[in-house]
Amino acid sequence: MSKLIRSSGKPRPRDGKQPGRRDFLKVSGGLAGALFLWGCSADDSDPPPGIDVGDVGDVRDGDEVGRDAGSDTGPDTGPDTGPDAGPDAGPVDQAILDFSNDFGVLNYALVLEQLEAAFYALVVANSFGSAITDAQEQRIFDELRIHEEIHRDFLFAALGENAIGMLEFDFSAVDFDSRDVILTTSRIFEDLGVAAYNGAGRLLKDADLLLIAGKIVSVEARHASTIRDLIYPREGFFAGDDVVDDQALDRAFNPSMVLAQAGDFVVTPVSAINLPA
Amino acid sequence: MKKQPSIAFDDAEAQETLISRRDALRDFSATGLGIALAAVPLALGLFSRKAFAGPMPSVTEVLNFALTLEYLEAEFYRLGLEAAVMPVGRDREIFQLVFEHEVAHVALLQDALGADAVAMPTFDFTAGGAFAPFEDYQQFLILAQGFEDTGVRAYKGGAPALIDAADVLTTALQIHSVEARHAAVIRRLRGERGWITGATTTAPANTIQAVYEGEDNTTQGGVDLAVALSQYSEDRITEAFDEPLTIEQVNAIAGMFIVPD
Repeated sequence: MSKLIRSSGKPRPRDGKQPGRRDFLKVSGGLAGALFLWGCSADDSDPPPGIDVGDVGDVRDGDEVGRDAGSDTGPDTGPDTGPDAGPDAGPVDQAILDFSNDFGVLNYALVLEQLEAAFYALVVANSFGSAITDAQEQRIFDELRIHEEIHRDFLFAALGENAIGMLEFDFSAVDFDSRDVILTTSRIFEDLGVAAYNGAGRLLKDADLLLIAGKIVSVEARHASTIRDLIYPREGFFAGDDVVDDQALDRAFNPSMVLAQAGDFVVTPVSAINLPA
Repeated sequence: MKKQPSIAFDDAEAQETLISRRDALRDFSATGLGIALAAVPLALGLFSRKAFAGPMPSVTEVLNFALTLEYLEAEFYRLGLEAAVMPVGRDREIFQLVFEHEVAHVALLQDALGADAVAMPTFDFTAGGAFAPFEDYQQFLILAQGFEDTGVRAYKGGAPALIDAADVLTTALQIHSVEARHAAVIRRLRGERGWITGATTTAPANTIQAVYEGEDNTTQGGVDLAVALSQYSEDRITEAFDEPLTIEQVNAIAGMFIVPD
């Protein structure tokens, strides 16, 4: 069994290729109302791992895993006839999340859904012949990809002209030939998505949008549970004590914490303004 | 191919009772979800508060509603573990943890409600003789799945009523996603997907169909995604969004297992 897994401890990736886990606590305080910025500041003294602004051109470099981000690949989808300003458009130069209104909160969700959709598209495109060979696991990853694409495309459609554009991602730190790495990265993304939506609910002013966010977050939690069960189907790892506390509560992160973690994989400069305290 | 666990309903009369209870549930669903999404493009609906067609329930009502459901789940798992209906190993480990979570949720809600907390009802998990969950593991699994998927839908339906109580809302959401983790792993114990496809129960007829009424919805924020995102199959679209239940719908489901005072 994989050594990544401990049900009672905190599962820690040991492989150097694992996505970095930022110390998110360190950026969580003192940002209220301030401009929280990552990826586009030349003098950022603490750039998130995985984003190298001066070097953006480098990370592609004919790397196959970077190429397909954001596009529809694999079975079960025909030609994308989705919204014009949506996933078919090219990546934007930058994105701004303004948390002073619900558009900002939905766009924040859209960052995460784009991230997940891009990641799973690469898993489907690159890993089925190597790392993910079990037919049922392939089906799961393909469905995860489609669910996240649906979330992404729905948010694009819902936001219309208020949507941030397509972001560019860099998954070069992920070894798509390793089942352990893919599962661990999936676990991090799904658990992060759950924590993000849980923390964002209170930011929404509109009850209809709160309900829709609720419709999505439980699907993310189903994903997280499923991925964790694939990693280690014992000792309650599906809801391990690294994500569910002793009051049996899942995690709820504020946007600063989430963006710091997600930022490891986002190339496009994304800035967040009017963040909640 | 779906695995169809066989459940023998020996008692035809009990089954009849169950079916008529289910018919009562249909009446609830016929009146609609009660939570009506605005039939306008989503962006136009920003900053309105019309998630509930009727008056919003109070925070206390929502929390007591949640508490009743947590009592039901905790008691169900306690009895199942006591009867040792599940195999040791993976299955028992999962239900042991789920049980502990539900007990913690009960304690947390009781604490939050204080003197306003409702007492635990008397439960009959045979639903008048229709089920034998503590003797038949497949039945136990089916009811566990039904309770967890109901829990997910119940917290979701209750969340908009908590929009002005930010801390309570966050806590409710933190419970909600734990229930979804439970639901997924229990579905997987039954050899099913962790997510809900359309309104399919994955269980025999006349068992838990009421839990899945309306899960086949494809309209989100006033947009029919089966049309707007027609490149995706309806199965995947319905899986990508879990749907809420109203308090009345949940009470009707839970009421099948509650002995009237």
